Amino acid sequence: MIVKIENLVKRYGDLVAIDHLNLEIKKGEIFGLLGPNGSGKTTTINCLLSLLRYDKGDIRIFDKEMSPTAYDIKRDIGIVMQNVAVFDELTVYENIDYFCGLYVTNKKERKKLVEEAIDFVALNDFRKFYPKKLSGGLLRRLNIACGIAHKPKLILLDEPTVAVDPQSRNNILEGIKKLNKAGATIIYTSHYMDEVEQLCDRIAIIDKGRTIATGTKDELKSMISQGEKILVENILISKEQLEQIEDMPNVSGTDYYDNILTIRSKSGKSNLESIISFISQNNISYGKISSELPTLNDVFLEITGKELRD
Amino acid sequence: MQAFKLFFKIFKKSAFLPALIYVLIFIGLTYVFSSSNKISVESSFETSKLDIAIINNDNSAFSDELVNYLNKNSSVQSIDTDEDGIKDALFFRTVEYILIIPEGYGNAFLNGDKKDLETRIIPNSVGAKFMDQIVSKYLKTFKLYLVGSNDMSFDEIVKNVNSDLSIDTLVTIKNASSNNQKSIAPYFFSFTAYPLISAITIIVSMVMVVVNGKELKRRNLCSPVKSTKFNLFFYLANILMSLIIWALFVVFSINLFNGKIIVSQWILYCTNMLIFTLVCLTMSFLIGNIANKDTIQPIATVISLGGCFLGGAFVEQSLLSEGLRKYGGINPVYWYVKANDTINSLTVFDTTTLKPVFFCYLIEAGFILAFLAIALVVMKQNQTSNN
Repeated sequence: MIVKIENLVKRYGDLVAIDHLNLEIKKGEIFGLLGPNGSGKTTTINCLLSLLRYDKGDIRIFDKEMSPTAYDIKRDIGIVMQNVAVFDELTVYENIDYFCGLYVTNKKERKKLVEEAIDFVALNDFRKFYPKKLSGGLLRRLNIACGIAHKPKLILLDEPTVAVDPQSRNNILEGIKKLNKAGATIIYTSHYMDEVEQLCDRIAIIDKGRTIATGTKDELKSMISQGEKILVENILISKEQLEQIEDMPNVSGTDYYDNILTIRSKSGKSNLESIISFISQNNISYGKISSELPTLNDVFLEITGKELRD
Repeated sequence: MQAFKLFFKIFKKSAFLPALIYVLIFIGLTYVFSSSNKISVESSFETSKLDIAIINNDNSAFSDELVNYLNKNSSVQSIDTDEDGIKDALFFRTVEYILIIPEGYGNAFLNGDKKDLETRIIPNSVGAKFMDQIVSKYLKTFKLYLVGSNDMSFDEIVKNVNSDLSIDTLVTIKNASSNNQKSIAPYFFSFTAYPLISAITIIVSMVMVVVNGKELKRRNLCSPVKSTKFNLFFYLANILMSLIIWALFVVFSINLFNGKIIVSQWILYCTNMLIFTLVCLTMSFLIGNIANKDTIQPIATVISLGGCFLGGAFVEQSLLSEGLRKYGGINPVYWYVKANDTINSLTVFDTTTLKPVFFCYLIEAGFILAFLAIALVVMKQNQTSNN
């Protein structure tokens, strides 16, 4: 295990920010921490980095106990903070060089690493720019470059795509995949489920400081009763035909409203073929048919009873 | 070393220009002041002759000799001897002093009888007092010969008295106050309080505010660099920068006062400035922990201008109001200027004369400790609230 968190508890007065949280992150994976704002993701990261004192629990990184003075562990960690943490007074190059210099003292080696980091985030044309001259997306890329320039084994990215345009966001996500391919283990926190779904090998869903589900995206989706959702638009269907659909073996429920038919399937089952054949056999006219697999939001909704973006 | 380099990079970008402006303005003003407004302190002495009038109603040999003597030591003017004439002469400042020798005065003096000379003067005239001394000196010397040498003739006594009173003593003023530039030195060193506070506050506080920014501080704490090591290099850079500024003013003072100021005095001035530099440094630590980027410049302006005005760096402390002098004790600038004034008044350098200077040094050192202690408490408070 690269990271192991056991029974982590962090309180702010009467508020329990982290409530007996457990996590295990394996080497080489992209691990997603998914949860709504205020769920405890950033607090978990801060505890993990020993930036915050916690009340209870055990945190081990690289099989060693993490503490504020665990400098040998910190040496192999890269951190990309939620809020951009760069010096406005230093240029792009100087910022990356400074943060890389905190880990790599050899000047020659550092120069090479800084160049690689600039290439990686494609900031070559902006190396002499001061952060205030950069757009939001470029600034986020600089923030990432500062965190990864020293080639860490473990990279923590705390909501790195907040307030970033879609193009920059895709660049960032592609970059993270590249880092992972290069051998880094990645912990990625976000409240954007599509990002986490697209990027992460395994995901922990956090709410109110507790891990409510952990697994791959498929494992998480299989945990809920809801399966595929079929949507038939502009359909005219009788009450009897609707009952016949509801009686199909893998259908868990239907909704028919305003000429739109929604058919919910049981978990892990598909009804698309049988629905299409039923419609054609009964000569039912329809406009458009589509199928949706359950999302992480559905998982969150079913477990907590509320939307992920609440 | 990263912290050390970081300090100078941030300084270069954000604090160099404003600090440079303060220093350059100070240097420029000092040069203008020293070249165009040299305070003249007399290095030689020349007796001036007071305009007087003598009304000799006696006309004896003695009174004639007295008149002759006064003629040599003053500028005797002729005036109307009636009452209106005397009043007019004094009112229109034709003369400052009128000596009236009453009839029979010479005989009375030689016989040891009591008879006084009469004088009419401009009220509160310093020159008149001086003339009184000259007349008194002549009479006392003459009396000395009369009493002490019974066998001496009147002419011999006159000759001896005139001879004695004609002896001048050559006085060479050896202390530093004989130098024109000396008078500028305390002004120069006291005025440095302003650029020292301004420059050090802007540089140290500005860099501290940047590095102590919440996100950057947290980011630094994630690195494998020990925070004690980081802080050590960072504070060393602060101290070095303050010493560079101090050294700049020391070099400037050498350029301004080279060979024109007593070395011991110059060393005392520079030591005072060094201690005050450390006061500014610790004060800047404190400001750096409570201010933000937007408030540093106004705070530096208020503290430097306010401190210097109230502490007597711009106006002499003797001209400050009673209240300001009373409460000046809580202002480090007051003690810095007081030390400079005390150093300026020194002509002898021994433990007794230096005691008041060292006392001011100690008070300044107290400010260093006080600012440092408060800054550390604030830092601790900030650290606790972050956790």
